[in-house]
Amino acid sequence: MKRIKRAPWALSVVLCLGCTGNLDGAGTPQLGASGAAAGGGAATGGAGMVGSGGAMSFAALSPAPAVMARLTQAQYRNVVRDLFGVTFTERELELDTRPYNFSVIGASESHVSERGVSLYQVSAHDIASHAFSEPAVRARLVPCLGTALPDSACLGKFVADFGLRAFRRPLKDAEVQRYVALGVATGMGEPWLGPQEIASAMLQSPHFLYRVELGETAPEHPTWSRYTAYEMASRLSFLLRNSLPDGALLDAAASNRLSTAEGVRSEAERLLADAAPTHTMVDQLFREYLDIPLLAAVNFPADAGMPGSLAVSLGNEVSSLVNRIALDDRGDMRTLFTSRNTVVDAPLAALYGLAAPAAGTSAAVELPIDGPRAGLLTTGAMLALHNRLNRTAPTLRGSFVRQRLLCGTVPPPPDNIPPFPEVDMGAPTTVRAKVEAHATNPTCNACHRLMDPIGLGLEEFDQYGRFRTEYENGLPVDNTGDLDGAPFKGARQLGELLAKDERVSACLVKQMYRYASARLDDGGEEGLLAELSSSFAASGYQFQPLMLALVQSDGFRYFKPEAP
Amino acid sequence: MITRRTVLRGLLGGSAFTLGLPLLEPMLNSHGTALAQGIALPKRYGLFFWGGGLPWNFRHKQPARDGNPEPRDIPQPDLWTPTATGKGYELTPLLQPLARHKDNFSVVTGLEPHTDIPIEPRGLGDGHMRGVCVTLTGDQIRPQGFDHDAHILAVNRQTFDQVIAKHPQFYSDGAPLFRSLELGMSKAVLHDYGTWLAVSHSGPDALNIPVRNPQSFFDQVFAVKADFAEVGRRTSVLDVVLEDIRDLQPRLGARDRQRLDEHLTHVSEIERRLKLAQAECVNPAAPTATFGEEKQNMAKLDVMGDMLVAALRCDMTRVFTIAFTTCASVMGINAAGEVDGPGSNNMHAALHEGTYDIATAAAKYHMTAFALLLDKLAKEIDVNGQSLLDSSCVLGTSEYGEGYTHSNKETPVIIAGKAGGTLEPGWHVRDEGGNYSRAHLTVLRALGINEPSFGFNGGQTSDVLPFFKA
Repeated sequence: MKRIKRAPWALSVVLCLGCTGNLDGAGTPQLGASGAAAGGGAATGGAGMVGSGGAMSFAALSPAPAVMARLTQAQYRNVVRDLFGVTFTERELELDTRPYNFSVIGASESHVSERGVSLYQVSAHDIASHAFSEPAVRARLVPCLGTALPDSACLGKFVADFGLRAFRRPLKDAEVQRYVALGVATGMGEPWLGPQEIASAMLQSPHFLYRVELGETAPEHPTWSRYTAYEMASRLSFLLRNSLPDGALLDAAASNRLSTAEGVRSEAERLLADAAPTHTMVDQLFREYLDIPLLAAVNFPADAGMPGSLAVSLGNEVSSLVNRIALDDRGDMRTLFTSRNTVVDAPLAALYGLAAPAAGTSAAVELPIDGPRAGLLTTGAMLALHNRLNRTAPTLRGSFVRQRLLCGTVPPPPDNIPPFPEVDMGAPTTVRAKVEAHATNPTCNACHRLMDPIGLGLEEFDQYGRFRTEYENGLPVDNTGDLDGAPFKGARQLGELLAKDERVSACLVKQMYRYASARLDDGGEEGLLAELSSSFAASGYQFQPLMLALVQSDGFRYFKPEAP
Repeated sequence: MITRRTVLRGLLGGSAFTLGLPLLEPMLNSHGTALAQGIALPKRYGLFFWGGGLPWNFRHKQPARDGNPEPRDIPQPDLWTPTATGKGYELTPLLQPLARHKDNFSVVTGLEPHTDIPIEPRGLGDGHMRGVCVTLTGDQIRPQGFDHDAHILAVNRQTFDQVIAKHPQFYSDGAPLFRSLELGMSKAVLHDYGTWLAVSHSGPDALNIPVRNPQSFFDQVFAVKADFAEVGRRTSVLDVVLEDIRDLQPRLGARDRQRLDEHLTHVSEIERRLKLAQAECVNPAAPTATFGEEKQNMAKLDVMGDMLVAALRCDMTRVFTIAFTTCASVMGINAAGEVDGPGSNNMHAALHEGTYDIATAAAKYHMTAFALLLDKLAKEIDVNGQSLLDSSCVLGTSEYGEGYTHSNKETPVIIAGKAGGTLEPGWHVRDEGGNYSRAHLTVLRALGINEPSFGFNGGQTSDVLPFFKA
């Protein structure tokens, strides 16, 4: 974590001012700007990047150091599958961690444990033995090897070919010799053991387990390092395919076509045009961004007609919503917050009070124009995620909108939380009444006003995402809320406000940049992020042009060299 | 006479094969008090961690403060703290599940973190986060990279179990197969990062994530060992991996060089283990169930506890940690103490909301689990005729005292076992406002680790608890 240049505590200092009242200070999110038309950004800058595909010059960019991300569980499995052309049974690996939402960030920050390395050893051994026990697989992997004693020339060819894909770069002579020697030594009795143990060793090498990025000198930027063509092939492939580079990418690297923004663009366009893996990428990005994995921990009451599979249905709805807008429709990503078109299965239809499609099927539906639902905020997934177990938690819902969607910050609570005023339990009350008590206490309200007024506007949905007009005790639901001075009633109106809010689109850009970089954004990249946001606006807020602009940007292609 | 670790010279690759043996009677001296070579009999350290602390009580009422003229005073009985101190105190309702081990443990009340709370970054005083870092490491939260908002925190140094497992005075007769084993039961984790996930860390960002699957644990500890030829091949493979790591390291920045350095240490440790052929040990039965549901946590402890005790008996390790539930656990439990039973609320939410009956049931549930672990250690007779519990020192603790306000005051501490005679169980020690790391230092001394003090950044102490008998 020490690479986070703009230390989080520096941020807190700024935002603490926000808590004591100065919400309009420099450096804080511009509250009250939510009504500003986001389209205003379209005229400024960035158009050239999207239109021509040429690299922008980011005069303000100070690139961040490279990170060495370990493969995530999903990447490890994908790479092994692509490397051997075999789908293996899943072997246990060290758990991914997800600091700042993304497992790739955990993979670049965490240190592997002894048990993690031990699991790598067992996995590598099992995978290699399994693959080389299949005559067809081993004949495909090592066509030159006969039954004779170890054949160094043939082993050398295997090491070069297999190593190119396992390490995502050509091996150096010394490396080839090292692995051939291993194959000769271990293949004395049974020739197949040679390549098998070579493969096992490669699967445990740091060049396989980590995305090693050493870079090269960049004549065009003498103080920067440029990712090598092979490193760029991997960066594109792990971002867009979550796996190792395919043959065409390796060819592009070999012919040095990935050292320019144009070359990167051309390969990225090719990869994005492949629908299935691109859907998977969008799915992975947004599931992590929106905390969909946490839905598995929500206990839906079966006796209220909500099957345990509802969590899966809810996650799938978000996936289909995001994928449709981002890829199928090539639409404006801001309509994520307003769209009335979604896909439901039977459990979800029941939750939403819609006619159910046939069991086991899903159907595209248009939500009623006068209904309470439209867009991401009204999906069961978003509504069921941020609650206490038996009731809604407007503070948590508001915190999600503030932090995750607006990329705002909420300062930490006091060390010992001051107690709530006693509520007279004799009289029926509501969650709203309890939460609004924060507003009567200036100490609480300094920070709670960043969260509560947003979340209170979502009270029309209960903790499972069901629409309601009254609480269980019969008291009516009040769905009024406020987003930084803009009043609204209910989730749909909040969605309209968020769709127009420049902070939301800038936040999506920032989250995508973090996902692509496998690290937090660095203080020196603010100018670049602003440029990307402008180009996002210029493209009509489309996903693919943003992704193309991102991978061509200097921040994705250069890094700050570190003294070894 | 058989020595502690008989070294055989294997021909294969010229490697030295060390044969690790379980403790056998012929290894003892004539009094049965030490190994024949004069080395003390092994001692074991364990951590039993539960999340969420204890139910609040009137001792912990909130003082009046700005904006809150009324102190909150919930007149709930203190079900944890015994009235009398010293030996012969009377067990309280929350300690009652441990009644059959009353002569095997001491309880310490009133301890709290003494670590400094830096002003920046803000939030370092957070109850869960400060508390869990102090109970696990004796230090404050690592200020670098701390982000209260995103729940990102790292320990500032290796955790206490790793201090022991890597201390030269602990494994002075050579490390066994595993320096430490990390187990976990509940999967209900607030956040899947750092101290929310693991209670053992080798350093900042270096989590030793607990094994929560009984079959995985069985495979890790009791898997059939490779034959000599295969050990030779695997060793050759690891040698190539080590060469790759050493070649790469000098080309990296300081941070990634450090990460790879740890990776290299782990590979070397695995290579050492590969060569350390374990002698025949009475293996426990392989697990037959997966225990995937939270309500099976206790049954899982039963099964994994048996495996752990077998590993301790065979001297495969002497250090273990059990994250029964994790810091700020979100495991669902109801007022009857049923996990995911009717009317359950998640522990973290229940504590926040002040649900006293659920908080009380959760504390009882955790003490019941702790008692189950102590049962297993007490039942297993070591080679010297004493129980594993007699040779062990097991620290039972949580991240803070009072769940409702997340106050670090009154952090629970139970120290079970006799540590081979250096601990006198049966005490209640009351040290209101005392330094939590007194517990750490007492454990170190009991295990024969002669550190003059323990604790960091304001948390240092050189004061041991009175039931330590040097």
